[in-house]
Amino acid sequence: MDQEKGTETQAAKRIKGKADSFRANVSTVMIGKESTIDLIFITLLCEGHVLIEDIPGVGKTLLAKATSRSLDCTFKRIQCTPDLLPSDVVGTQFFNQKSSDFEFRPGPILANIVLVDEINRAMPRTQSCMLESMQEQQVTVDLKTLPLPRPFMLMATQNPIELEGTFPLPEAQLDRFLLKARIGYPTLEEEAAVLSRFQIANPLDRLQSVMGTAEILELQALCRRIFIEDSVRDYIVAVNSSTRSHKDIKLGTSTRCALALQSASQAMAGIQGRGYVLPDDVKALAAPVLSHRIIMKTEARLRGRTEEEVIEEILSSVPVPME
Amino acid sequence: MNQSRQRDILFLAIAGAEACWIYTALLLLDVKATEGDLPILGLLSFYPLAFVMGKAIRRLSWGNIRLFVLNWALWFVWFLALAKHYAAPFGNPLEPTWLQSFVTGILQVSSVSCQQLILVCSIFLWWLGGRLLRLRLDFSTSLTEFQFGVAILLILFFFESMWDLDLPGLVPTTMAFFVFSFAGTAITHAREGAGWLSGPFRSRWMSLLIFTILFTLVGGMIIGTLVRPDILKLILSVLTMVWNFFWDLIFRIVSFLANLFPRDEPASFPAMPAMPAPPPEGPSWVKLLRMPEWVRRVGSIVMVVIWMILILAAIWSVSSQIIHWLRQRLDSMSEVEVEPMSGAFLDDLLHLFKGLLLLATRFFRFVFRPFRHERKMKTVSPEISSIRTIYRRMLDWAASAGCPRNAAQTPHEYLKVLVQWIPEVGQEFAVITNHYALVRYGGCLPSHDTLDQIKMIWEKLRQFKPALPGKK
Repeated sequence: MDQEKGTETQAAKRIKGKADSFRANVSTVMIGKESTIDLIFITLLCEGHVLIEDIPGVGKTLLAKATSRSLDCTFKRIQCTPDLLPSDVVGTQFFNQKSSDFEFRPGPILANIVLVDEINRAMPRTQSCMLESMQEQQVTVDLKTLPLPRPFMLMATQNPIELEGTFPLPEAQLDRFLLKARIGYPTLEEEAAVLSRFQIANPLDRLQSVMGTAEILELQALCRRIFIEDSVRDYIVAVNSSTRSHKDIKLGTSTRCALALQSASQAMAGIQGRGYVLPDDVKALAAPVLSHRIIMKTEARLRGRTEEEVIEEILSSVPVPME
Repeated sequence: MNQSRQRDILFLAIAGAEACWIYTALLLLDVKATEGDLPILGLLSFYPLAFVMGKAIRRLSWGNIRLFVLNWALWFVWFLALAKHYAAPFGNPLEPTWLQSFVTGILQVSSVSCQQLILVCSIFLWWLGGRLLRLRLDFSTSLTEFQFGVAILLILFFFESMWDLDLPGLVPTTMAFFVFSFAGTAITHAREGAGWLSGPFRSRWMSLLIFTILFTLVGGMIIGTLVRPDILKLILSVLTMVWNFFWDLIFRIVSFLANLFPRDEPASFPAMPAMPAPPPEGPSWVKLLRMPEWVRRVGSIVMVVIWMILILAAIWSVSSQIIHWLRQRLDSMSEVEVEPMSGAFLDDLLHLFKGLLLLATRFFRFVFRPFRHERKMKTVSPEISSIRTIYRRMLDWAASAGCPRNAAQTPHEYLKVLVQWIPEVGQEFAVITNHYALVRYGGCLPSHDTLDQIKMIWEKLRQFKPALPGKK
């Protein structure tokens, strides 16, 4: 192939190089979780936000911290509790007695990487105060709108069990997360390697950053150049719309979800060094992007059906564009 | 028992079951449409012959089109032989009169002729014999054949009863059908290692199976011999007597209870009003508004059809919910063997409809191909078109050899299946698939060298003779 589209390929190669170094760096802390690390990097490339959901103790917070350390960006952490208020997140005006004037004290949301730990422990009004920042990348305090620093990525963690005293995230909030990542239990070998690596010191402390703010912004721009063929775009639309007519789904996915799937597929192609999107990319990302956006019917839940199973069923029924 | 012997027995079982309902159908057609003029045995011979010939010509290393033409040429030869036998059994085959009379019979349009039926049936049976060769011999196929055969036999029996015909040999044919079907189902089940016949209590289950088959056969024969119209009438009269006895008893008890209450005085009914006079005949245009008889009949048929659809839909809905509930119950039970029933009759019907729709779509595509081609040529370059064509040919080649692609599989997912299927040419599969993906989804233009290389790989690949899926 001597007439390949040079621009996309070069962009993809550059993205792949950075993705490899990011993966290698975070893998020194998170052993054997390359696919989850890739999902985090895809979220970063797509200017999205990620919801990390798993049981306690598998490294949700550690993954978020390792990500922030690998990126030379400002990092803030919000530990969600039921008494957390919106002003604790976005910031507040306080009266400075010296200057006899009101001054704005920015909240932790005003950072490049924000870790919202155990997001479902915050009250709905606190959860909702993040909607504007997640979608429009700005906050409004006392009628004053402030832009958030770029790049901006919110990494939220939540625990799917022990739901007592928690507030499940509303659909509008879930829809704003580009994808939901799971970590899962490590294998025996991986667990042994974790024990060995953490024996003397926490490797997180020695983690160096591999890219800065300017590079991230450049990669995000490059990612949008990844070529996506019309029929693959139609395939994304077909997969997305199939969720609206599936017998086990009460509420299907939105157009925002189709956009998310498209940009995530572009990023997936990019981190593999490919200048174009394949239907395989769409299939690989369908479950992380779609699963938290659909609402299952009660009878389907009672039958033990999961969102991932339904998405798998949809993927095995929607024809892949070939001719 | 080795694999090829098992395959032969399975072919025999499925062919036997199919031959039973085909024979019944031909018999019905013969009695109803041609008054005993149809050469049933001659027509039946098309079925095994198509199978044997198909098996023989598959050994030739020819292309698909050549094999197709040869197959139907063989049909034509055998059809001519049958036509000769039908038109002039003892005449000179070189004389054109028999052919002339046969062709005249085929071209007859006033009513359905025996010659037309011979033509249609021979084509159908030849195709059926070829289809038998392509069948995947597994449990679901065997089950599907059984379900389909039962449905066809029921329909044939229904028509036989409606037309009040007396077809000879129906009971033995039906029994033979069940024997073939049960044998095929049992063998495939045991062959897949999922059945009872492969477990630790194999001998017991085998004895039970043989006992069940014998019981069915003997029971069927006894019922077929003993149950006569006079015995049925006798049973019916006994049942009527019992019913009347109980009804009379109930009536007496109710009458006795009614006598315990005082009787009312008979009421005097008012005089009936006089019948109103018939309305006067309206003007002549009023007659135009009256519904003609044929419209009324059509309307009543439409109403009946609508009601039947509604009732069937209701029954279907209720029964599917019950089955669904039962499946859930079965799923929740541990240590219960649940068959997936992939060859269920509904699935087969849906597949049939899908196939018909696909056929219609292909037909329309073929009809409108000139216009489509012109439009495509404007957008797709010849190099890209070549790569796509090669990939499509590879798909067709693999599908015809027994490894078809699922519509929801991506090229790379299908590549894994292909490599697993024939690891020897996995590299060739990978090269063609990767270039196809690059061209198809990457919008890249291949160079002439690449194109030549792909063509060479494809030529090498098509020479490869894959083993049949059942023989692996």
